[in-house]
Amino acid sequence: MNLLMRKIRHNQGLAVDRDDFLEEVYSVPGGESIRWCVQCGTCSGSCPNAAQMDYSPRKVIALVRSGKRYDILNSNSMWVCASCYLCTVRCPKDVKITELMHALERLSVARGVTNGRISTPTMYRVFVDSIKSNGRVHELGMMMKFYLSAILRGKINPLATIKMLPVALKLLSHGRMAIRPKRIKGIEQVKIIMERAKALGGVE
Amino acid sequence: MKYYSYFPGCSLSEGTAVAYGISTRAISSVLDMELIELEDWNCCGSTPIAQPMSFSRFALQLVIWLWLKRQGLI
Repeated sequence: MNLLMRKIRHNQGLAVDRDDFLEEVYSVPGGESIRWCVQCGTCSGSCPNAAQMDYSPRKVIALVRSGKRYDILNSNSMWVCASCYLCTVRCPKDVKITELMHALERLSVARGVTNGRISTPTMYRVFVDSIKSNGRVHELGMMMKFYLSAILRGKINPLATIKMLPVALKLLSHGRMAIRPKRIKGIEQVKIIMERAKALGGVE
Repeated sequence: MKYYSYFPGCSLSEGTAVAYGISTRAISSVLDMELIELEDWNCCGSTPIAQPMSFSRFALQLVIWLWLKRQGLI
């Protein structure tokens, strides 16, 4: 009896958890559309990065709908998404899969639950830092900062960066990477706007 | 001659896609188009900012839009 009661309580706990997470996903723009998913798998078949994902797009939707919050937020699926929108344009039920991936990224950052192997959140942060200091992205500075902070967080092997050196030299020699950042005139205003946007609901 | 307002974006103006920027400008004169670049434009936010910071994306894009309006390009 005791065991049964505990089991019921446990299940109730899960149910609450599940509804909560689903509501959260539904409340973000495009999140509602996962209701219409028929699990046909067109998204997974179209996704160029599905092989690298822990869960393919179809599985992501299935897991979100069955309330597997922990599995989803800890997976690398949304971080591997290249935002090519192929799944979205091919979906027969108009499910906004790319938007769902973005929403899951936001949720995982907001919850502080991110996949340990993934360095994409670090990349996003240095990208934002680059905009804040120049108004535009300075790729050389951004990538140097990215590798430094990813190495410090143990997400990238320092030796792996050496492999990037020939790429960087090639880009530089072809004039595809600016050495000095170009700072826009209205940088102070951009900075203020970014801070204000962050206060209003951006998560960093 | 037709005039078009032009927002190159970070990669097209000084980044890895600079070659596309060069060819776009080169082809525009052949096609009898003139591209008028938005002055002092800022980054559109691209993918990295759209995802974890939803609000900032709209903020940055709104700034570009207002800039276009102020410079009379739209």
